[in-house]
Amino acid sequence: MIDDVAPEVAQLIADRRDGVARTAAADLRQATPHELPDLMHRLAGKLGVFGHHSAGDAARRLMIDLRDGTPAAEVPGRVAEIVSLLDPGPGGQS
Amino acid sequence: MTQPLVMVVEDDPDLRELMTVTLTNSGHRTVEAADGESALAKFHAHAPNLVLLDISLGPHTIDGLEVCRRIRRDSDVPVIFLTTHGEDIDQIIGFSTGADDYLIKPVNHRVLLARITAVLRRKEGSRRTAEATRLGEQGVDIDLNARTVTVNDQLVDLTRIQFDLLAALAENPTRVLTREQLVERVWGEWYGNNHHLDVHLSRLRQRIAASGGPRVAHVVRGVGFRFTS
Repeated sequence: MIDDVAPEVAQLIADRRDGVARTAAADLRQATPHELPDLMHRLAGKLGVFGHHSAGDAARRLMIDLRDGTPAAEVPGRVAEIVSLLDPGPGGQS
Repeated sequence: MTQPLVMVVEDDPDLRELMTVTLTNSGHRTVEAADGESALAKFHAHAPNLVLLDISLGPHTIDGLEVCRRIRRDSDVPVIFLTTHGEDIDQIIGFSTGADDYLIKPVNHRVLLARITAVLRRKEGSRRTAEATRLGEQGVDIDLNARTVTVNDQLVDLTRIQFDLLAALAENPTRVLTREQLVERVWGEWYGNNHHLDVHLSRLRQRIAASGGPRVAHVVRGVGFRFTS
């Protein structure tokens, strides 16, 4: 939460916010099914810190579901949902 | 006073920089490491006061659990694990390696600082307690754990009351304790019998002097007693 931190920290978060989103979206689009668990693990602990709370929560849920054996058919849609949450354009909610 | 040095071990450069800025902004000094091997090298090179340690450090290095195990081989420096895992089993594994605390990412910055402060305070308290287990000066050595007193390296046989009186005075050798304070420290409450206290102090002085030690429980007239003159 940017308003919960010192100005220098808030500035760093603001500076990195868009870059973190772009990199995460690119990683999500390129990830193979085999790479997804580690990627979700990384994004779940990172996105929320840089202000992408909805995308971070979605990554955390998918991380847990992948570990618990979610149906493979659901995964591409879940990944696309996270990408859309990172997209600051129409429909983006990050 | 030197500010605590915190080592941040995190493979993600954005998170690592964010934690570093958060810590320096709050008055901590920092040293950074991006993988397990460099973490161990920098730990030995810089001797940090606390380690913030991500468990997952990527596929090409030892993980945070192993880093913590190796740190624990010869150091009790506080370690706080950072991880995205949240299950109990992960916490059990984390603490069994010797971690002092455990934070689930994403971590609120104020929570991070509060936990660091709490762990450092706890460690400082333990250090002081360990130091306080041995008291004394002028040839009188008091081991509070073993409840033994040696004078010039010779063991002195004291009663429980005599030992507690000597330890109370030695805790702060320059401070004068009143009769009431001394009695409360040893018996728990002041019951108003000066003679009883004087007898114990007199016998304590005799035992220490008989072993070649200084005159203890020095009387500060009208006030109370000090460890020595």
